[in-house]
Amino acid sequence: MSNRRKPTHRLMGIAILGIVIVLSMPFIGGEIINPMALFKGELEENELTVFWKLRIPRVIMGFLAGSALALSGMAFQAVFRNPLATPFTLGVASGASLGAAAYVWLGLSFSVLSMSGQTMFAFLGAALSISLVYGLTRVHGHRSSGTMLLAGVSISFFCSSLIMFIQYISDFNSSVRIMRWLMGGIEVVGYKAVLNTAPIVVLGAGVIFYLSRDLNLLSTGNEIAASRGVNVNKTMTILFVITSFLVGSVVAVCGPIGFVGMMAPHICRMLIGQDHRFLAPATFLFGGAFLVLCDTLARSLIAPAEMPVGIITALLGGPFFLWLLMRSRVAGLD
Amino acid sequence: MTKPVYSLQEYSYEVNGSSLLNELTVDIYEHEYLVIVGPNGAGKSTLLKCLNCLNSGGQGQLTLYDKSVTEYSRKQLAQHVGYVPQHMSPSISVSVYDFVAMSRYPYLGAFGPMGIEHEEAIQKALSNTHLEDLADRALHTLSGGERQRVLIAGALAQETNILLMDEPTTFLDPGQQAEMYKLLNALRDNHPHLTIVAVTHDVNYASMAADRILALSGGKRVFCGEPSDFMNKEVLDELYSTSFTLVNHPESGHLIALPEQIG
Repeated sequence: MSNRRKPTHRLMGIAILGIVIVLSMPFIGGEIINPMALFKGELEENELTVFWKLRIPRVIMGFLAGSALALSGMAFQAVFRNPLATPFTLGVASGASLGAAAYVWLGLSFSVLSMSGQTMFAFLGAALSISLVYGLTRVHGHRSSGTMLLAGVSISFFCSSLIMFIQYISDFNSSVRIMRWLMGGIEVVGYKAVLNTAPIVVLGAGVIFYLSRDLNLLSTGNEIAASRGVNVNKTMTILFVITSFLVGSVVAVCGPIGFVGMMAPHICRMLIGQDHRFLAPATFLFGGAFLVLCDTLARSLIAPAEMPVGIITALLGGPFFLWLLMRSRVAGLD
Repeated sequence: MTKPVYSLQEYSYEVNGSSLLNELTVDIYEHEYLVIVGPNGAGKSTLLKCLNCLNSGGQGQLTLYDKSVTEYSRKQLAQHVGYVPQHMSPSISVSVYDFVAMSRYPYLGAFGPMGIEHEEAIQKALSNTHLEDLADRALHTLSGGERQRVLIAGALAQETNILLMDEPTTFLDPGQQAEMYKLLNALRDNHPHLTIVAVTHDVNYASMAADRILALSGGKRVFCGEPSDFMNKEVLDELYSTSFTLVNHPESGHLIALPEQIG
């Protein structure tokens, strides 16, 4: 009985797909790099530079960003028991954007323990948003999903207005930097951003994996979770801090990239089921691989120019998600 | 009735200035079946939640095994106390089996598979509540009565010495209600340490099954004692602000409360 239809095979499938995508995408782009030539050492200097200095860090960054956003979305959907809860609808991504924009506007440039100042500002913005949303929805004792989403969307608009204001009063240079960054994109060069982001994403993902059983219980309701032994307040606080760091670190580097945080967890739920011990790793792998794929398209389709990756995530993911919606129900949405 | 499991001394609980429990003093003993009755809004569910430490900020003393309930970690409490809530969100779509399996949380680490003893506890809870055939069904596809049995199975799978049940039979038909009452009796016979505290509106059932009845009204204790003393027209009429007629059960001779005649 203990082997009760565990989705191990499907998880393996997602893992293999993820690995194939991550390993093959660095070779694809405006210029196709022949893997055989790389292994035989027949690549020219500029091709090697493109491969090692541009494409590899970019694929890694794309994977980190996608997995971080997807895992955050999954955690929000579980603890708020609402399929529409995502880093965007809860205002967390906008809060992070506001933090990062403020950092640029103030002309700051510092880092603490390899964490960039922009990441810290984005984290603070994200943490402030989620505290506000959660705080507002708890004022009257019982949380309602409607209040929560309304609060999130309001905070989102509020932050967007503030960002526009910051852009308006900034000097031309900062203004352009903020605008380009707001479009979202994984245009990293070299390994600095990757090395800054990777520890946060790895640690954050580790904590979320560790809390799988807690997430399972929280998604059935706070009272049931508490009765079964989950310290609800402590677990929620940990999750909010972790997701704020995840979203903050991604938004600081890549800007707000939409859709991954909503779509990836739902697709994985349909494929894997609701047990977070399997769902969390699946979402991590799927979100990462999906964004790597989208980013490869973003930098290849109109090469040598690039388009913001957010366009691709929505164009590619939207129809696929709608198709899945037509075939099966989204957990928790009736 | 040996030593108190729970002990409340002038325990009060209020929310936003309105008092839900008012200086409640009562002991709950080991292996006792205590049934809490009272009109709507009397504080029955509130009391049950306080016993399970789901409400924080109560005044006065509330101890479990001589230790304040707030001193237990959630995990420790979950090893002592199983809780059957009144209802659960209708959109939960995990399978019956997975839901019941989650009850093993207080005994499990973060990772690793379930050992055989966990598997047995889950199977026992499922068979006790006749849910084996529904084990793979998603919760949101079940009827109200089936979902209530799932909630009870969840609490049973926790294998605790104390069961707190908030109107566990509201959504069950008479046949399933009788089944559930028999199950609770059987559980008590097999577990010498099992204490059950249940909230119900069914005074006839309460008088038949309970060792003691606690009646609340407006957050205050208005009656606590033997069922035979509770089945008294004055007590019942006062408690529910209606007029009961008490008759003897034609077979067993038990007193039965009949509701006020309408029309």
